[in-house]
Amino acid sequence: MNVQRLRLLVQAISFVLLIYGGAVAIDFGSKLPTFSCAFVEDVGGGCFLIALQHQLARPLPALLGTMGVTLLVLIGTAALLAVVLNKAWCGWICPVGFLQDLITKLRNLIGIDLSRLPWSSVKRYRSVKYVLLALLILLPLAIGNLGLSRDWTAPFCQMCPARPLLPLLKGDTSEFHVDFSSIPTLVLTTLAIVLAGLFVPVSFVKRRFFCSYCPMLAFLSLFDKVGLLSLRKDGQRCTRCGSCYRACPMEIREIEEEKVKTNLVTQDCILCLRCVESCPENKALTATFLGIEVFRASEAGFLERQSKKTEQ
Amino acid sequence: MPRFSSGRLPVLGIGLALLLQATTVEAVAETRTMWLGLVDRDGQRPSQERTAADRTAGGGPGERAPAGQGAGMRMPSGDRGADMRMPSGDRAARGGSGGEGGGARSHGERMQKALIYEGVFPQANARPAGAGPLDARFWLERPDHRLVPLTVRQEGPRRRVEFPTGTGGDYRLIGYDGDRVAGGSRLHLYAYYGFMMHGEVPGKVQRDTAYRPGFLGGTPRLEIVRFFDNDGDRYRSRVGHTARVQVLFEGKPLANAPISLTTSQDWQRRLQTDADGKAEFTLIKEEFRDGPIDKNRTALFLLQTEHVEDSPGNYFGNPYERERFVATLAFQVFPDSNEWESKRVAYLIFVFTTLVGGAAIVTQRLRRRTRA
Repeated sequence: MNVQRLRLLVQAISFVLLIYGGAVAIDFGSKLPTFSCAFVEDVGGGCFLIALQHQLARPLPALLGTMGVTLLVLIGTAALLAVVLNKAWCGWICPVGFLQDLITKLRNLIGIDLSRLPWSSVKRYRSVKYVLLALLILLPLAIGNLGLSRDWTAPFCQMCPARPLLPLLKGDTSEFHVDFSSIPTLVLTTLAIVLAGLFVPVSFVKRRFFCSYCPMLAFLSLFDKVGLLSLRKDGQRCTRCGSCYRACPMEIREIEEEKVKTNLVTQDCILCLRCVESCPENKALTATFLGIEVFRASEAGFLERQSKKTEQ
Repeated sequence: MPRFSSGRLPVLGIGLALLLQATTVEAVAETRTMWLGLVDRDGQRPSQERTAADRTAGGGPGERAPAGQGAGMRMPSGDRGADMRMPSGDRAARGGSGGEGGGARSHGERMQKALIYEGVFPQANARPAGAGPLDARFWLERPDHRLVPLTVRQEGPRRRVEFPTGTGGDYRLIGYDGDRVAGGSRLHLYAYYGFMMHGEVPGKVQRDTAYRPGFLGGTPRLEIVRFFDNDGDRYRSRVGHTARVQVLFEGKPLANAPISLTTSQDWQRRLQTDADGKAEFTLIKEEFRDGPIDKNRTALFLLQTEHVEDSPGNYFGNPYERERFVATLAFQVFPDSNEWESKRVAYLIFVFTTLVGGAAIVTQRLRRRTRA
């Protein structure tokens, strides 16, 4: 099975459904744990982070009352979806991830080398996404309870590059602006444009560059140990050839080095399954859903894919 | 525009207004106006209303006490819903009446409050209506087109209605008063105020391009329907937008109907509808202020149309020769976002960042090659 082709197909379908689906009444709601930007006109399904930030910007008594129930429903739904598909939301569904993968494919076509950060840097920058997740929770709480200016409303959405970029795919430039009305909005919206400007060139040489700093991945990583979809490694079968690490778009070193742990859905893993596909050792890496094997590494499959690559 | 989860996000800073404005049949000069203004989080009126209050402080023609205005009003015991053909049991909102209204409050719903104002638009925006008769009925049309009757409550010197908003989508406040017969005419007042709430939208109904009535038990006889180009316009009407409207009488386009747009500063433009009952108004900037930008500062604009039908009848012992219909559609207008947003600067930053980012990558790679 060519998992990467299947993944590309799923990504493309998801992309069309989420970005353009609303025009034909497709609506997956606005509690999705994926970067389908709610600022896109008639979006087919929206990222739950914007709702989370808005719901949190309420006084504590309201949050402890009926609004708290709403908040729980919101987080509960996103968490449930996170448990079911785990980080496949990032690797298989996320529109922003799909765009980055397309840029990577373009780079491959042109034949430009990719860039790799040193492992120490990867580890250091991992925490950025957790900081962003904490800020997008704490700042709205401060708005509702500590009198922080409402210019900080939905802080992450104001600085998210998806907000100016994704509406462009529908010819909508309304979100492509810098907001001069206050210092916080000026800083945040400028940051969004800067990140959007970096998105294309950096994605061109660094696979899934934005995902490394994505607070959605940080949220999903809270559930990676209980996710129904899982990535398992048999350390006894691994020869540490490094093929999986080279294939990994998130440059996760543990996938190669880990010999003891069986669950390899680490905090940066997006469950793209490229590591499984690239592994030449039988059953060294296995993708399971509810404990049932859905895809596994095999020498035969590896050789088949290699021969196809050579033919191409 | 964004659609948030779970609804109940208040439309920030938007005042909900429902307007009933009618020229009485006896004298054109006598005008009664009534509308609702949302009570915001802090229990204050929206900024626009506070400004209007400042403007008219000291009294004005619109601040007349409404005493005596109800002389022609009756509250017959018979069914007054015939002209609206509302579902049974919808006779909830009568002035000063008690009882529970607003429908069942389901899980997670948020109650909104709106004050009722009376007087002459726009001057009487200063003061909510307190005393005097009020014989109109109010409904909330929810995104699923369900009509919820609203109860008018007395709150100190003020009257208010409460209504629940739960899901996201398009809501309408609707008022109707059809009790007055004078000078051989029966007067029907229809008033609408549409607003959009962010949140989970129940099905496709919300993706219509206009505030369609969708009355389950029938349709209002005279209606102003507003069309929108996109959700952003629907969520917030802004200065510079075009308000595209259609006047319908008994569900059909009404050609050559007079229709006017009046702003909070009393600027007015009058047009006639075309053969399809349509008209377009550009939403002007009506106030120029120095000082910091207030993105949520709004102004209330009012659309109004009238129609007369020669249809003799008898309303609870009061004969009339014709029916006069007046419909209003009120909406809040926000400032033009171009006052604080710049696309040009964004494009410049974007291009600059892309070029610098690209150049940095190329430079780094060249250095590596040189070292190697």
